[in-house]
Amino acid sequence: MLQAGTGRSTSSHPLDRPLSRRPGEVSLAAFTLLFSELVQLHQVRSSSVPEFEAALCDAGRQVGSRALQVHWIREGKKTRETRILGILQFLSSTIWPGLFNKKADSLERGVSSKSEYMIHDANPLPTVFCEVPRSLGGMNPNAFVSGIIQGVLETAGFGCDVTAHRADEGGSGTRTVFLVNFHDDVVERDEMLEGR
Amino acid sequence: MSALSSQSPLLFMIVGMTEPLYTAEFQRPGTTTSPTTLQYNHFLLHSSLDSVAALAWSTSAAYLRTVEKVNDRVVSAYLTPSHHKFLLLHGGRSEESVKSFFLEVHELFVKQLCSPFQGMESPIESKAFDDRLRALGRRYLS
Repeated sequence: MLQAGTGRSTSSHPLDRPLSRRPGEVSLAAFTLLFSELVQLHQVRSSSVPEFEAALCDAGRQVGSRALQVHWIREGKKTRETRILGILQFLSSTIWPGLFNKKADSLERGVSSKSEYMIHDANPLPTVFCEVPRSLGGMNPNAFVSGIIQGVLETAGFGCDVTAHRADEGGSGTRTVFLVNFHDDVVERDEMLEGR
Repeated sequence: MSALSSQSPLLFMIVGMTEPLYTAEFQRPGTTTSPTTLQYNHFLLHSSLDSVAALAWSTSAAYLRTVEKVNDRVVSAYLTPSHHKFLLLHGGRSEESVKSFFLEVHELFVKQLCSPFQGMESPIESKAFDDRLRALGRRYLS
């Protein structure tokens, strides 16, 4: 997961610590505690479910925009992604394992629309202990993970909207589909590059 | 490298979406540059932004080599995956040393961005960042 593990010297300046050294794993319990505080903070501050989800999404975007760059350097990549499929593959096969220790289950292209893509995950890691009370209706804490995806894609120059949807009927399971809807100018640019 | 080009001042800039986030001028100790030359150097760098923007989607390379050449002054550019632009105005440093400089600066830049107090499009005001960047400049560009 992200950043420092235990046992590392705290006397060196953050800018001097090597970025490319693989960090130790962060305990899921520690992360989940932090995440639960984040969720509770926004629950108190928000006055509606959409506002609540948007706040979590914004938090995720901060993570995503940094995750893109950190993992780009850690993989030793020398080229930038200029195509939609390229950036989505980098996200699902490099950034996802870097953050959640597993690859995304699958990446699909939308059938009905050229701008839609779907990322499947059976049990997204940040929300693994989340149970949404019925009083909050259809609120989905995976808005945080949607934010991470959106942060990665937007920062790389692929403006989009990302929403999380429960894949199981009845909304009780954890299988989640992240729907990525790229903006028109991104789709146009990608088609133009395909033509070359 | 002629003696003249190795004495010419260098200008390095990190440019975000809309404005420069960081600027560093490197001068040989003991020499001074007139304000007109400094302004002209800034103008040269800014005018090369169009060339960089044109390359952003036509190539997947990060190191963009020389994007502008005026007399003996050269602008080299590097584009990060987050579309931040690194620009270096110099008088003919070798490609290898400029590329190495950019790669090291990129890593320093990403580490700086990891700080929660550093916005992705906010100016970089950290003295620690400035010190380390200048050290990289002395190491690779002098």
